[in-house]
Amino acid sequence: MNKITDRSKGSALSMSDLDERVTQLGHEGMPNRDLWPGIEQAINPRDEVKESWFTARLPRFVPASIAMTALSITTTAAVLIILNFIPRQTEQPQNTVYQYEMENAIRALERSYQSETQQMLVRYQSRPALTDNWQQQLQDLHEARQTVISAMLESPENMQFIRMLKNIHQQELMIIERSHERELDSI
Amino acid sequence: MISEALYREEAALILACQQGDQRAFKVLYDKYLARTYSLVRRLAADEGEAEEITQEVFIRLWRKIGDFNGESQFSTWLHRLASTVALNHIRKRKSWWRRLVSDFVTTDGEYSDSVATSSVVTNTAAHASGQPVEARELEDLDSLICKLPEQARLVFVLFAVEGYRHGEIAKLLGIALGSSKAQYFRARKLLAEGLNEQNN
Repeated sequence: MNKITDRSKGSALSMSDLDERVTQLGHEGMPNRDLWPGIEQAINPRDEVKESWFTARLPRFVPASIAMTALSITTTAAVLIILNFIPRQTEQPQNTVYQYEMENAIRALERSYQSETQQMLVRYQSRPALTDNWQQQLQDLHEARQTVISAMLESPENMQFIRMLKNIHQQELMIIERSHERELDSI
Repeated sequence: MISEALYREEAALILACQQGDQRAFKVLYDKYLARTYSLVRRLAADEGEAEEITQEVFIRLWRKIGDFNGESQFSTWLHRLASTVALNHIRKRKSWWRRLVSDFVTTDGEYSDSVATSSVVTNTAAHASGQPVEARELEDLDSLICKLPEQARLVFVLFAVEGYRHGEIAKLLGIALGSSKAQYFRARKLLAEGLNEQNN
């Protein structure tokens, strides 16, 4: 029999033992929460109207770039508002210091990002983007940004998250810029 | 082998779903939830993410069920859909995360070549809890599978647990046939080592 190891303690597991255990693995795991309400909402045609509320109300002449940038600014504003309402923890002085510094860092970074995005909004307002998937890329980055900000608030002592947030901001701006600069070059 | 009666019942359910009957779809969902979630959880190696992916699988199922033509068993078809959705999700997660934090990730986002990690310690606590040995060992094995390096885990789950062929896995994951086999043997070795380490 093909033994995996010659360890002296206990009996070594053979590959056939492993294969046998694998065949006995269950296929009946259940999620911790009820997934049906989310599925039901997504497959219900009435909710498609709700999903398209934002885009349905955009005037037809507004380029997608402006819509996405506006969405980006809204996200930033939401983050800043949330930060203003976070209760201060007084019981743990060390954590409070970290928390305070991290919140300040997030505020500063988001304000700077918002300012740069607004400048781009003005610069590119009349130019549609040429690339097809840049909105999707931007959407992915929005999600990443939210994840990193949540992580920053949960682990305020981890300074690496600041670099990560900066990195995301740079990438968001770069995507908007690149997708429009090409057209500037071609004019 | 499914019975004739069950087949008829399932065929009726699928037909009703294809005609837009959401109550029939709920029955189908209840029937396949556990099987689908188990597959997705092992592929994603994260319960929260597995829940999201499972939702996505059933939303896609609702939209695509009209494409099911009965040439294969429904369970096989759904299984393939679930694997594809899960792998796409994992790929997408990896791509944006890599793009953003490439300078923060040092090892290709994978674990090192050892699976004897905290899950083993956690599960070792069950040794003293009086659980049946068989069940406990299978729980340990499941935990170890989730701790495997990503590529090895995906190949192992698809080949050993779900019965895919290496050719199919290679195609699904976009890797060479030889790589699929190599990852499978790597996974097996790591699992056996992990279980042995646990026993000692």
